[in-house]
Amino acid sequence: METSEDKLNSRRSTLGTLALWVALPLALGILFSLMIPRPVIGLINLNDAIYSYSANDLIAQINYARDHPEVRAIVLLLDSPGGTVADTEAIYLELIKLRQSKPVVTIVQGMAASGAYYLAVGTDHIITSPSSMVGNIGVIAELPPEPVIQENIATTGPYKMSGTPRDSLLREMEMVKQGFYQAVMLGRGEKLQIGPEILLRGQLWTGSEALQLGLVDEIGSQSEAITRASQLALIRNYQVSDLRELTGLSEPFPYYFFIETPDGVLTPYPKAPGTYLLYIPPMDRRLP
Amino acid sequence: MKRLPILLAIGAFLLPVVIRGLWFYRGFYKPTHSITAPEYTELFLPTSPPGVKGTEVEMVDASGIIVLVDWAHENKFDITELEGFINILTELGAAVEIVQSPYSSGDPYSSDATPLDQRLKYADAYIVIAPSATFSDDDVQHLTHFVERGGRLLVTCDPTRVVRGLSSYDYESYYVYSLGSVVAANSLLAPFDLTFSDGFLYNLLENEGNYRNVIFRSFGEDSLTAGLSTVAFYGVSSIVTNTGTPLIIGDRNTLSSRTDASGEWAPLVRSQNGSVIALGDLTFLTPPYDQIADNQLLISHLIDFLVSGERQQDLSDYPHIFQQPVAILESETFDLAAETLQTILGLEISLDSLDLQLSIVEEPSPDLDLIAFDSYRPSEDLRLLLEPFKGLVLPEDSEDGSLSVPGFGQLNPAGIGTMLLSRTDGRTTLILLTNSRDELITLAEMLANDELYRCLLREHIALCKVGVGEGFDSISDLGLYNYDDTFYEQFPFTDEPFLPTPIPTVTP
Repeated sequence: METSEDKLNSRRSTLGTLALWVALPLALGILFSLMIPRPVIGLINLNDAIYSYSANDLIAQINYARDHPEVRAIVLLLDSPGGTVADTEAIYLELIKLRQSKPVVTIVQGMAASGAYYLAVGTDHIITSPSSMVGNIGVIAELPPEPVIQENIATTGPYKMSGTPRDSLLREMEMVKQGFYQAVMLGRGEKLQIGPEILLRGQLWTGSEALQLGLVDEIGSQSEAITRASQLALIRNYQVSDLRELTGLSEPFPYYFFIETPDGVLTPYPKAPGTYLLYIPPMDRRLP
Repeated sequence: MKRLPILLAIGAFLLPVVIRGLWFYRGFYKPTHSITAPEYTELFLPTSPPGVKGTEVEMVDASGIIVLVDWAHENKFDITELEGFINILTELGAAVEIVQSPYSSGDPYSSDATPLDQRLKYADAYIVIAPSATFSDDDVQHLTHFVERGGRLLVTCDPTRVVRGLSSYDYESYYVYSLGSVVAANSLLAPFDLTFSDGFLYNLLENEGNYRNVIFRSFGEDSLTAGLSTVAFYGVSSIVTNTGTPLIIGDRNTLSSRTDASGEWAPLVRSQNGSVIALGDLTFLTPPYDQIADNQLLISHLIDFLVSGERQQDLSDYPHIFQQPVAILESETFDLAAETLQTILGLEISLDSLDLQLSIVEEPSPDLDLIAFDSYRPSEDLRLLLEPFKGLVLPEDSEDGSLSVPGFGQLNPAGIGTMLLSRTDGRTTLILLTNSRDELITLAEMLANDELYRCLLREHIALCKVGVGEGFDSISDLGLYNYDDTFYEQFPFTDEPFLPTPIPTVTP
């Protein structure tokens, strides 16, 4: 006959067993689940021209996103007239690499011209505000001077100082343009509603026009870009973080790139001569 | 029985993991399509179409041809850019002269600054490249007349040659402006129905290394386009014409920057009379672009065009109508005397500029060009010289004493001097006829002083006013040299306000 004490002991034994087989694994499971990170949508801001400093910053943020598993998607916020060819291509290639593992969505907030649009077509989805400026596909360069001999500067070749003959530079620009055009075709593909005869005119379009022409995917805002990134990355209850802060980068300093007037006005002209994927708007006032 | 606790343990362990996982993730991201970058290694540097060797081009002999290059209209090019072009011309025997503005060198007496009309008297062809100063009415008139007499005119614009400047010195308001050569060139080309369009042509799909370097493969039939298959222009304007002939025509992918539309744009057009060419590019004339595609062949054709005109000289070309020493044929009306000495000296000075000697003879000589002076009652010797002018009837040969001049009709000879130019067996004869010795002196002075613009000219005949015609009371009536003082005396000066005279009303 089982006594009440036996029953109590049996219950204690059952509870002990339950504690051993359920509560402990549950606690461990809870602890273990905490190792599953809350997904992060990383924001990468480019509100500057593309040049060595800004490109290094962007590439550092892209690398951070690639190296950190909690960053599940990236939203690239663009407001840029483009910049140097080499830096643009470097960022573009990093974006392509990143997209193998994580989706990238672009939101154009003002302007994605030339090199900036080059970056945009390297992402999975492009959103723009209705009046943002998009496009300007093409290359711009100041032709080097004809070779001259200087009395007190000796060189070992006629193009040592200028770097390239004028005609060669034109043809090199054409080659850069071909790469840009291929990138656009790869990024936009069948979505494009216009052929190269219009696409390559170097025109800037408003966001609404760009949508009709297939240069972007939709009109929207930053929050919609974030939502779209979360959908592509198959995540929810995510957090949004500025990758610049996570990477520990300092604030950008645009004065490296553009010519500044003596009274502190930043012109749209780059300081150094060269070949650019850059939109340079017409200026009606110049330095004397 | 032991399996249940184990399953419970696993379930308990996985539960929070699954819940947290599902709380954050709906699945695992995988790209929906392959993500690739452009094949940068397969990009190619555009190359130029191969060129035709210049030696394959047959060239004409251009000995004695004089080609003028305009440098008087703030032309936006450097003469050295034309070095190759000029070298070909000189190798063919042509002489090339640069026409400067009388005001540009600061030395109006410099030989380079000889006025345009004087230069055109002996030139065969005139080249205008990228002018930025408009042509004056006089310049246009001179060049139009030059073309009408068989002179060749080549006008080239280039959209890369623009004048850039600041609109004002005021920092707050100045802006950069650009002025192409189109406006200036069109001021010259209007009489020939040729008009350069503003802007430039481009082709984004097929070009010579850059969209603005346009390849042309469509040509009109003309000696200028013979044998051409491909021509490349480097920054090119187009030309509009109603009556001219487009010689090079862009394809449907060649667009104008003015409209971004195609339209069979023509960068090379020949005028209706065939003597004027409008060309939309300068760069292709310069190395290394002159060696691309068939550009060298086109350049050869252009040179042929310049040196193959049949320049006809007329009286307005004096003194360049003479090619050998000149003799003055004495007559009863005009001989060496105190009154004529100054006039003869003036003629000698005008001929001296061509290193032509002037002598006075009593009979014509086949080795000498001739200037003959006489009245409308000429000597028998002079009548022989007048034989080439069919239709010329002198007053003494007509019933009413009138003068009949070919091209002018019948007129009263009073106060009118006639110049007649003929060329026989390589000898030039210029005959001056008037009513009197004084009028002959006046007419000869007009000739020596290059004042034939005051005469009515019909190629080889000129009628000039040298005196008072019948029906005039005095020379003052002509209103040319004097004015009548009484005109001012008769004018009713008054302090009264001027009131218009009412229109008279007509009552029935």
